[in-house]
Formats: sequence, structure tokens, C-alpha cells
Amino acid sequence: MTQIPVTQISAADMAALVDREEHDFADMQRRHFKARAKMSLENEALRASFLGASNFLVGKRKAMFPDDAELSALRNRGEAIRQHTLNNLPDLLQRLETNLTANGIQVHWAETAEEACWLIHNILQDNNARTVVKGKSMVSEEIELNHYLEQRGIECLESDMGEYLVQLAKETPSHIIMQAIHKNKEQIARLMHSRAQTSDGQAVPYSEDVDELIGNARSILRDKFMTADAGISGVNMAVANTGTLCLVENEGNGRMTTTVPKLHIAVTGIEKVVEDFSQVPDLLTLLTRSATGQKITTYFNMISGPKKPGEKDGPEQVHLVLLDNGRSRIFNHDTLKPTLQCIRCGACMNHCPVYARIGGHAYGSTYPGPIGQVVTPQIGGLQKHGDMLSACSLNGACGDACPVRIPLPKLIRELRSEAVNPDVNHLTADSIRQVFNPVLGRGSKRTLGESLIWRGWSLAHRQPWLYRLMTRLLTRGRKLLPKKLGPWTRSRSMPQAAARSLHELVRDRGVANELNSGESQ
Amino acid sequence: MSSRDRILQRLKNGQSASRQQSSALAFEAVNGSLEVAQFRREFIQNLSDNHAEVIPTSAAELATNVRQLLQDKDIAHCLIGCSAAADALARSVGGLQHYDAALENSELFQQIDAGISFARYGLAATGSLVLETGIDEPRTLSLVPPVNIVILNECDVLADFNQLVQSDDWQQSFSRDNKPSNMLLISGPSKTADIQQTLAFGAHGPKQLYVFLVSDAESAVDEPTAP
Amino acid sequence: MPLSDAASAGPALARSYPVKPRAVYLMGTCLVDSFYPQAGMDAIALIEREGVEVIFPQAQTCCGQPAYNSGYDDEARQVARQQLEAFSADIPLVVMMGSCAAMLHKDYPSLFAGEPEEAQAKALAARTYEFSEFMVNVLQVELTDNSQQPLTVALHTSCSARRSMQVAEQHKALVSSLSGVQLVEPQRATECCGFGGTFAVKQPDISAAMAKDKADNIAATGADVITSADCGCLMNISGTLDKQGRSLPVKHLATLLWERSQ
Repeated sequence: MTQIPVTQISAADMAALVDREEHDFADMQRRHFKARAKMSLENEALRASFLGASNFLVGKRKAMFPDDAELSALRNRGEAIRQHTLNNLPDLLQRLETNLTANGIQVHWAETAEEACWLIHNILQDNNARTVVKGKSMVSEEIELNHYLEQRGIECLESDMGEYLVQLAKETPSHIIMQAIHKNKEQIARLMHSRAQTSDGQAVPYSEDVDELIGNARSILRDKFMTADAGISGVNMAVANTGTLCLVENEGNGRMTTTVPKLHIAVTGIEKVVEDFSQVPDLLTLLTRSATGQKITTYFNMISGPKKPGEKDGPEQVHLVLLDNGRSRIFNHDTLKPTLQCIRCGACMNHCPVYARIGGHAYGSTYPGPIGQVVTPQIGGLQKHGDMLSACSLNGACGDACPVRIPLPKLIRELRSEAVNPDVNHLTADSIRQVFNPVLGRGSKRTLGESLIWRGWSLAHRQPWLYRLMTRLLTRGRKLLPKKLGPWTRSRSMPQAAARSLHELVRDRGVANELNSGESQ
Repeated sequence: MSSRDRILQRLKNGQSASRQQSSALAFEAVNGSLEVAQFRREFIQNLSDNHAEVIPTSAAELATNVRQLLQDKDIAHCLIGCSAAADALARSVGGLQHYDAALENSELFQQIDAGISFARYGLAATGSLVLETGIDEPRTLSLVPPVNIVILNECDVLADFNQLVQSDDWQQSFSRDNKPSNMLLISGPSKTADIQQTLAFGAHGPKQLYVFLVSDAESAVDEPTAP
Repeated sequence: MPLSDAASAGPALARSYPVKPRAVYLMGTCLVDSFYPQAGMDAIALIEREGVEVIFPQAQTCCGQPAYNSGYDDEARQVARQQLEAFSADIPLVVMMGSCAAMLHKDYPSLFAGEPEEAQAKALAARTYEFSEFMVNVLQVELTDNSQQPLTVALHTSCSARRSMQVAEQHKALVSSLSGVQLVEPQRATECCGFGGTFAVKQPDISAAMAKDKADNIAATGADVITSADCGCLMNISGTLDKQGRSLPVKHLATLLWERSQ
């Protein structure tokens, strides 16, 4: 979309442009993965936004890790900390619960997204809370909390700048850290002017100046912080030994959300626990440096209880909702378990060349990019989400960037295998657990066509004589190969086979076919 | 069986078959290389890089400097906490309001221009202020007013967060029954880069952060905090 | 960079290498077999020149990666078994493509986990080397550039070679060791070219977008020739440039080295 100077466009036209973007988004989400990817590839403004953001974030992270040896040591530590958590998960969660409770924080457990929403709604109802202000929480997006609460008459306003903009646009986040990364300044200016409203119902003046835009949002949200009945937040790390919830942020809305309203509800996945504070600093530095290239975020907020007697402020009640939503199932899959090491930094998607070109919305799910490709099919099932698995060249940039050494390409490949697995009933001693905990939708992407192709390929390649016959046909018949061959030749010329294969050439040269007995190293 | 029980049962089932030994690294910090002599410079540099203003001062001159800052920035209504140090400073500076009772949100949000906080520690490697909120240091004091002024004694600057969590003070604070209900690391004025990755200051927290670094005071850590 | 430095480069993977062997297996790979057979011949010439015998089992076919990456593990195993048999003697295996080398070295152990051939697969994985890795770290080859013509060469290192086998430094070292050759690397050298095997077929639009960017960056180097040790990437990049009407000659790394040092 070309930039349209302000003076040439009326408020009504501006609103129309904003409405169009909302419509395009909704339309895109109704389609399947490939169509979404194609739409994104063809949207030049979107591609420019993502490529620009990608370059920026990759550069920032690199600048923060100038020393390879230090980076490697930190990543080893990060991996060890997260694996330690997983090795002890049920015990740590129980200990967390005990200590949180002793600190006056009420703990709730939710197996499903729906149950989490229901629990949170109950807490709000019990406290007559009608207005909620939200800190940034990807888990709350995962369970679609805002929608659930709004359907029940509870106003739910996002306070993180990126989330606030996404909410105004009636879209979903396209990145887990910088939620509005897909919008450029002009789009945001139009969005604010057309849809943002102060608490006395005034529109916000049009401006493309970033400081002004932020200042306007600050005023609007300040009123909300002041008056909201409840604040809902996520959690970056929960410290089991002390019963402490730790939150990371730059804007201050997280502190506002967890401090000003009388009621604070935190929601997090069950994997976000660490054992004690000695593990926090290194994990924190990995997170902030990997996510936005910062030594530390403006605020690191450590909550170990509600307002105490004698204190002047702070919430009177603090609740934590622990969400499973498929995580315990992932926990039971030996190969895919490292999925749960994730600390939600976003480095993988920043480094992914596919994400940089199709953006976050193409994935059609809360979590985009490489971690999205691993988490989403496991939570939502392979039937619905298996297609995104092919959008990966297995180049490995994500795995290299991951601060806690999740082997993302390996997990993506493993999920591909699950998606086409023919045999749900394959029973071996070690896999009994897995039989009853297979990935949801195992085998649902297996097609007759593709399985026949691979059967044929296997046949041709495990019989040397058949293989050599095939290459002979290919090389002798190379001039007869079609110039067009499916999608390959849409953007590339057809490669030409050689006149004779290597198998033939080496035989002519007299290269030995096998090691003579008696020869040794 | 409750959701809790079912979740824990599934996790325990998963654990029994494939339980791994954790690496020793899970409990070995990656220690930084900052020397004590570098703390002050590193601390000031990092805070300044994040757009905070650090004002070195002495215990004798602190009150004068604070009063001067309030004048220069046209700060009329300034809030301060209730610790002994806060009381002492308030007496010397004059004209400050003690945050000694809960405030109406409308007053807190709309009528207060600045808040003066006291940090227990500083962290050099990240330019961070460690604030232990509580009875004497309300949480909103360093959050809601658009200007936050923090007093820190230079002798309380540590190397980094690892050093802080390894300290006896921290360990004791977090192992007693009465834990600090809200411990904070503050490393600059609030900011965001959510609009086309362009950095803007003054998001929802304070727009400005001033840090008075007091060079010859005794450690704030010796001062007992309210139970 | 001097070859001797490259021999110890690479921070993470401190792989230990054997001394110069008497004989090695060569795996051509299926793409080299049908599309770049000369690369295999040139590799053989280079290795034989160092006094090492090359064994090329006619029974070899394909490492199995296409099926494995698509999730068809059984079919991949069936084909991989054939390679276990073909390369059964306990001598090093030199592989002409980074992605295939990685398949054997990194993935065969898990592919055969719990299978009767598990020990055999692990043993083969342990003695599998990517071509440049073998030249630099095992043979410690010293190449003399005997060509009279100066040449600018754009080097593309595949993602498998770079990240799985960690041999990017070895690639650079080999090309740089030719005195008449100027090595240039394109902008965003570490970004994937978009080939990804079946990725190019299953997600052609995304693949084409990546290939276009890589082709643009390589063309912008002004190089005379493109070299890589991975044929998939070479086919992808040269095919894209060709279609755009701005072809550039491509040579597998082995061919470049042999031609210049004859």
C-alpha cells in the first residue's frame, strides 16, 4: 500500500482503510495455510515490515552476544536450567503451589483453555469485576480469554502498546514479543486516529510522530489503569522455592496491571517454573538479549504476595492459574518434550527466513514461526495445523538462535513423521506411554498419493540395479525431459542431467568397488 | 479427581519412564567478569544508555541537589516514602508529601508530579536499581508519577543480578516467612519499540528517571526494613 | 585463512579426526550422480593425488534424506540400510554433499535407534566426513593454484554444511587457498537459499521468494563463478538466475579445486 499524505485523505477514508485491513485479516484467517502464505508473500508492505523487523532484531541480538564462548556457556546453562525443570516438573509445581499459597497467592489448575477461561471468569465474578486491564500474555491469547470475557459482558482492554494496537485493529498478534510488528507507522497512525478513544469519548488527533502516538496511548490507558476492577497478566518465570512470580517488561503496563487494581490474576503454562532464584539471572539475560537485544528490560517485577498489612498499595488478592492445555501430553513424548523448554523469547522467528517472508499471521495460530510450528500442532492437533510443518527448509537458523538449545528443526521433522505415521498401534516396550499419548491427529496428513510416491522411491533406491537403471534412463533420456516440471520450473530453469552418471564414470576409471580384504587403516 | 490431580498424575506418569539426571550446570552461574573498580562507571553508563540521568552527589549535598532538581523540573507535588532515610531527606528538602497512607487513584494518577524512592542495591552490569517495596516504599511510588527520583548509595552497587541473588541478604529475605511482596529491578524510564521498532520513552511507567548516586553514605542495607 | 587455522576452527563441535587413512569410501550422493558427476570424479582425483585409495561401491544409492525429511521414516530406513551395507568396511566415508553428510553423521543414529542395525549405523556415522572437512582436517591438503587466470568466485555454503556439519570455515579456507582466486561471499551469506529439498516442491512460493533473494545477492557480488559443496543449492540458485536471464557458471567445490590445481 503506498503512503498517502495526511492532507489528501479524509477521516472517513482513513477509517475505510483501517476497516479494509481488518477485513483482509479476517479473510486471510479463514483460508488454509498455503493461501495465507501466498497472500502474505504478495503483500509488499507486509513483507517490508517483516523483513525490516527481522533484520533489526537479528542485529540487536547479535550485538548483545559478541563473545561466542560466553554465548555458548549461557546457552548451555539455559538448556540445563530448563531441562532440570522438566526433569522435576510435578515436584516443582507442587512446591510452587505450596509456597505461593503460603505467600497468600491463590493457585488454580486448568486442564483446558476453556477451563482456564471459566476459572478466571469465576474469580472476576466473585469480585464483581466488570472491567479488566491486561498485561501482555501470550497464554491469554492461546486460550482466547478476551473473547470469552467479552461474550460475558466483561470489558477487557489490552495495555501493552503492541497488544493494544492489535486489539484496536481486531486482529491477533503476529509475533510473540512485538505483537504489532506487521504494521508500519502510517498504518498505526490511521488506526489510532480512526479507532482509539479517550475515556471521555474523544478521538485521538492524527499523528505519525512516534512519541505523540505513544503519548496518546499512555493517556488513554492511564485512565484505564486507574479505574479497572482487575488486572490480568502472564508470568515469565515462577520460582518454586520462594513462591514468586516474575514478569519482564519495558513499558510499565505490566507493573500497572499487577499493582493498581484490587484484583490481580496471573495465568501461565505449567512449564514456566524454575526451582530457585539462583537460576533466574542467567535465564533472564538470555531472554532479554535474545528477544529484543537488551541487557535487561526496564522492569523486572518479582511478586511474592498481595498487599500486606501496613502497605499502602498493591492488589488485595493475587491469583495464579496454571494451564495445561496439552502441555502434559507433550511432556510424555520423549522426542518432542524439549518443546517445553521454550522461554518465549521469539529469537527463532526472528531468524527464520520463512517467517521473515510470510509474517506471523500466515501461521494462523497464537504462536508463529518455528516454535509455533512445533507447539501449535501439538496443542491444536495435526489435522488442523499440520500444513504449516512443510513451511520449513530445515535450514537450522532457529535452532542456532534458541537460547535454551531446543532442537527445533529436529522437532519439526519429528512432527512431520507423526503427521504421516501409518501405525497408531505400533507397540514396543518403550512406547506404550506414547501410544496413549500420541500427538493429536497422528497420521492425519498421510495421503495415499504421497505414501505411494515414497514407497516407489524406496523401491528404486534400495535395489542398486534398479537405481542404476533409473539413472541410466535419466541420463540417456535427458534431452527428453520436459522443460516444465511442476512448481520447480515456475521460477527456475529445468536442470539438465549429465550424459553419464557417476556410477558409470567411476567404473570406466577403474575405481575399486570394494575394499580388498587384507587392506586396513 | 480434580484437574490438579489429573495434571500432576499425567506429569508423574511421564516422568517415571524417562527421568533424566540434571546437568550440574543447572546450578552453576555463568559469572561475569566485572571488577569492583569498574562497577561505578559501568552502572552509570548502562543507566545513561537507557535514558536515565545519574547525578553523583555526596550525603551532605543530597538534599540540596534534590531540591534543585525539583525546582529545575517544575515539580510541585512530590511524594516520598516513610523509611528513616526518607524522613531525613524530607525534613531537609521540605515541601514533600509522605506516602504514609493509601491514596485515592485520582490523586495518585493526576496530582502527583514525582516520586522519590530509595534503592537497596544497584547492579552495575545492567544499570539496575533494586527496590524492595513495602510499608516504607509503596509499589506505586516508583510507577505512577511521571517522574521517578531514586536515591542509591554507591557502596551498595553490586556486580550483577547473579551476585545479588547469591548474597546473604537476598537469601535471608526470601527464606523467611515474610517475603518481600514486590521486589523490583528498575533499569531506566519506561519505553517501547512497538511502533516500527522506533524507540520511544514514557510508555506507561515514569517518563523520566533520575538517580542520585551518593558516594560517601553508609550502606542502606544495614538499615532495618519494616517487618 | 590458512588451512591449518581452519583445521581447528569451529567453536562448538570439537570433532576429533583420524590420521590420513590408506583408503576411503566416496559417496557421490544421488544429485551428484545424475547432475554433477564430474564433481565426484574431481574429488576422486584430488584424494588419489594425496596417496589415498578411493573405493566407490556401486551398491550405493541415496542417503535417504528426502523420505526422512518428509516424515516417511520406514522408507528412509529401507534405503539407508542399503547404504549401511554398501559402506560396511571400517574406513572413512567421504560424502560429496553437506546435507547428505549430515544425514549420515547426525541422523542415522536416531533413524536406527532401537533397530538391529543401531550399532552399525552409529559406527558409520562416526566415520562419515563432509568432503571439505575431509580435505582440510584429515588430509590437511596443501593446494597450489596452477591456473594462469585470475577468478572471482562466489561461495555459497549450504545450511547443512554450515550448521549441521559446521564446515563453513573449511569451505572458505579451501577456496581462499587458491592464490589466483578471489573469494567473495554474498550479502546475507548465512541465509538459506530456499532449496530445502522437498520444501521447494511443497512450498514453491516461499521457496521461490528465498531463492530470488539469494540469487540477487549472489549476482550482486559480480563473481565469475558460483561454487558450493551442495548440489541442491547449486541447482536452485543457478536455475533461478538462468530463468531470470542472468546465468552464472556453477562449479562444485571439488571441480573448482581440481581444475585450478592440476
